[in-house]
Amino acid sequence: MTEITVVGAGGEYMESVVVVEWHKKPGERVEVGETVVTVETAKAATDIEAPASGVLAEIRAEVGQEIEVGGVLGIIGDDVAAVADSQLTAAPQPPSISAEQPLAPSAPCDGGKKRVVASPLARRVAAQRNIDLASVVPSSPSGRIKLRDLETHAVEAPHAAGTAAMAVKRQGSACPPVPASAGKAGNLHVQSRGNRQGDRIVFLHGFGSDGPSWQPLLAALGSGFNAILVDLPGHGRSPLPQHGPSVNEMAEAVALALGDAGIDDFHLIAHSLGGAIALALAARGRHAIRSLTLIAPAGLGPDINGGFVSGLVRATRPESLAPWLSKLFHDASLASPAFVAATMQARFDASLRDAQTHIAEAVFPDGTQAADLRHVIKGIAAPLKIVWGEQDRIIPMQHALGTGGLAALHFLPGVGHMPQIEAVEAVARLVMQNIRAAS
Amino acid sequence: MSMMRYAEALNQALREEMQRDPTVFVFGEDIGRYGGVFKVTRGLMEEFGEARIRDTPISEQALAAMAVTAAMTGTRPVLEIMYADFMPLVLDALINQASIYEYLWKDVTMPFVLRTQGGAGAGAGAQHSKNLDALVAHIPGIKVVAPSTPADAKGLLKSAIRDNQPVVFLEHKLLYNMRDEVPDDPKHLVEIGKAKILVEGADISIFATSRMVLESRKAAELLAADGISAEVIDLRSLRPLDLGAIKASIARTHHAVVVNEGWRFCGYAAELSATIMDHAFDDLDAPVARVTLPDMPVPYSEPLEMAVLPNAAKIADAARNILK
Repeated sequence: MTEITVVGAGGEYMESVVVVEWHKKPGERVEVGETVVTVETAKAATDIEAPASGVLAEIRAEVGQEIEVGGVLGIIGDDVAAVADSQLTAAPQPPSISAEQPLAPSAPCDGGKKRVVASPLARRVAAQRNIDLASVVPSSPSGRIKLRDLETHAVEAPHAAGTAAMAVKRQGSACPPVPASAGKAGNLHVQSRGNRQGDRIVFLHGFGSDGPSWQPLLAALGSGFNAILVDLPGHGRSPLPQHGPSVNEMAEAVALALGDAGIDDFHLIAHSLGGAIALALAARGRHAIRSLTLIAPAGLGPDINGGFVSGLVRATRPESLAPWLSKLFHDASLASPAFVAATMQARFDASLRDAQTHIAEAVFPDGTQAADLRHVIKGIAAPLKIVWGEQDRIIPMQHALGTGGLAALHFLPGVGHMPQIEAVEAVARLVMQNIRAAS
Repeated sequence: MSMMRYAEALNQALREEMQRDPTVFVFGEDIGRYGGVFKVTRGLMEEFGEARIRDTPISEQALAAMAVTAAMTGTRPVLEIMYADFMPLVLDALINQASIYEYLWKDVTMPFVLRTQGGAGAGAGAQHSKNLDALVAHIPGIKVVAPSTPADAKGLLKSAIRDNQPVVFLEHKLLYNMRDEVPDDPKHLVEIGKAKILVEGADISIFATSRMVLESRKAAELLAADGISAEVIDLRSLRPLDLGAIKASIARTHHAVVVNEGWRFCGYAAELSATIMDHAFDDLDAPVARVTLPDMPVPYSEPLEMAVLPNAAKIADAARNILK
């Protein structure tokens, strides 16, 4: 017997492939060098040749199944064993692979065997976008896949590995959970940078972003501080929540993560959605927050650019992402192709985009901010600054006016939703004022 | 533009076409001295005389045969059949004569209009409430129109009278008193075979004719309250059908509800649904929904009649159901 293995198909950074097609059925003869199975990686479909002549004795990875590079796709048995297996009259033979073991269980949720029920439109669009309908979960009570299910699925062929992974996750109770995410729940990804002896600053990023996105401001602030970069739930390298968490639940997750890291005394800088989470964190009163700098924060009013939020989470390629990213800035040229490409790269994982869709639905339902945290402001004794771009197209700067005169308001002309990038020097200067005021 | 009732718009169309073309004449039961049971022909006998406005005995079969022969011999007859329920009596003339003579004989044209009214909702009972549009739309060679507004009633009737093929013109007893703006221009014509988008929408297309257009508009308002944007299309012409308008609408909304006041089995809604599948299958994101009368006689009892008739609530329910 000879194993058919996944070799050389994954590319440098791929850990797994998805089986696209078997060209032989169990029991069929194969010749060495003949294409026996096609697998798909993030880059391309790859044909795998039979490593030996013989009979395909066993398929271990069914179509649609994800398998690690190096894993065994199937077994090629020798002729005699296969013939013996199919001829009842044959004399007893040493047991062949297929006789010795039951066939390996097929893919965990054997969706590929069942006829997929989908609307004609969904079928057509899925074919155009190379979406495998077997991996799409219908949202309609009819059980029929509709166009909208593809929109939320929104994965193209190049991301087939991601598709399969997500499909398994979405099957819910019918399939075992994906081990990769097990054991990390609640533990947000937190990294510490700069001078550990310096003033400590916790950074909470905005929706769809991640901790490293603070880099320009970190550079402007210099290396004297100890920066704590938190990846919010469903963002960056933090675990993907199973459902869309509320602002309060995310604040609780941040509180737990900071507690685990022994961080209870810090300055806090937060942007956009992170701003709302910062206020919810402050309301908990479990930490000594020395100063608070909120940049274009959520949580101070109902309005938010719902089109931006849904456009961002839907985008699966740079062309569809770029128009939305340009809305972040007053100077649209800042959403450069390189910036767009880097952002898309960070959003490459379909399950991350999926998680963020659920988060958006929870915190910004129907394009409205669900959490109103204005009442928290009057309980904050520490220096509080709110910094806002006058040309913010995501959350209107007028929300700052609802803070009852208890925060220092800084409106930056010619700046959009990303003052920490578009006016990084001004933001750094205001942050330092706040930190000095606290000490 | 003038405000007028649907019945008055039809009257104006007849008057204008009779003034324009001396070969046009109108005949039927009680249409002359009495002015028609729905007063569509009121005042025409006084203006055009008994030769062009003719009261006839009660014999729909004979009347239909008269229309065919009059049309073949150089006039443009307009026949009124008082109730669509009596259409079975004229079917022989339509199926075996009017619709095929053009195919059998050279140089024969068949320019006649058969006006009738049908539909339920007026407590007229099982023998005076039918919608039999499928029966006539089934016949190749016959055009069938069913306007829902006074302006379309006038424009389509004028076009029907000028058409060289037989046209069955379907009115509805509950539309005659509907008042709306009607163009005064005698040149106002509505082309047969062209649908009209009454309400633009993005989520679902509702196709209807005649009084069901009004219910569909109400349904669109109900759906709007749920945040569903429904497009309402008045087909106006059952045959020929405006395929282009149907396909374009479904290409936008990907969902279709077809509404018809007739019976469901082998009904006009079934034809419409199959046509949509033939031509727009790959644009459909859900099966086509049909809203029709159930397969039963229209009850005389008012509560029962209201219960079985298609209405805005049923149309909205059907739309919500396929959008789930």
